[in-house]
Amino acid sequence: MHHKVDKEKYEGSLARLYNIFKGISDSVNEVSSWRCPYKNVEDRCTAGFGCRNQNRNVSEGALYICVGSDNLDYRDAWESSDDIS
Amino acid sequence: MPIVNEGLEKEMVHIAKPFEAQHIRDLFEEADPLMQEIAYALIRGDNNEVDSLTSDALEKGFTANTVMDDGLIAGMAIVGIKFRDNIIFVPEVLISARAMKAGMAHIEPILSESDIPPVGEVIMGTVKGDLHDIGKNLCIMMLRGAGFVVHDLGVDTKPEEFIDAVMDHGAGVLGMSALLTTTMPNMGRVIQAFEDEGIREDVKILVGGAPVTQEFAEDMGADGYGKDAIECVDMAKELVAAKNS
Repeated sequence: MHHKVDKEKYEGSLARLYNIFKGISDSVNEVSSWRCPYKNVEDRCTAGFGCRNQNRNVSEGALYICVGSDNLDYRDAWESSDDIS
Repeated sequence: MPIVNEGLEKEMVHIAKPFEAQHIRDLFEEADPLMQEIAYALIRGDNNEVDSLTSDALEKGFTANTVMDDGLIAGMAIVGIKFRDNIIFVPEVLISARAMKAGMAHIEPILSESDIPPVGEVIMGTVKGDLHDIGKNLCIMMLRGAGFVVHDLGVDTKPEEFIDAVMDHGAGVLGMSALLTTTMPNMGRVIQAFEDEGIREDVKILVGGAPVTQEFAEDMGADGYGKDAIECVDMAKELVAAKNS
């Protein structure tokens, strides 16, 4: 049997989480202006679609390497209909 | 209690601002080492570990409030700082969010037992022909963090799949996103499909995505538009309030 949740404390927790996520949302808007949001910290591509910046010469199951420059707009490289069934 | 978890202590080197480092240390000051383990697993994005540690903590008698505050949210605070300071990027944030969801899965039944209903229920997906899901995934992360139950239909979603999901779950809000100007009109087609089925009034429809504007949203007959993830949350709250009024 678990202790019941204290509603007031829970609402306080949600408010703190909202503030953390608001900060993350603001950072997303800023970071996405210069870095593809699908590119992870190891410069690997996490996108589920094709992109001309993907170097696919990787071992099986590994994420593609992103070779895009952060100085260029990445959106033009995204393939719009690749992989759509 | 100081930070005793070695991995978590190593994470502290990423907190460059002294007042933030102190704030984070204060968060863990009275926290049990198990909460530090949960926070560290969340930072690493290890959803299996968060799942098992959260379950253990609740079994040991820690309250859901404690697990949320001292484990999950404290960990997410560090994720937010690392992201802001470009130490990690969006994919890593989303992996930590997945871990948070694994922990919250154990908290949600206790919320329900405590007569705390979800803020609302939302169906989310990208429209037919669109595979660009990062905006949707960020919205889902933030909606869940705000207390919503979200059913993620993924990408390339057909109108009938949206309709089925809304009907199956009785969700009050449907969120659609599109990144391409070529797929954006599919949002209007989904809204038309709801009208054709005679169930348009049963659900509030929220749209977003890089090319979408307030004007476009209004023209296609959507109930709300969010220009980013946090606006998506604010608008979803408004739509739920409007639906319940």
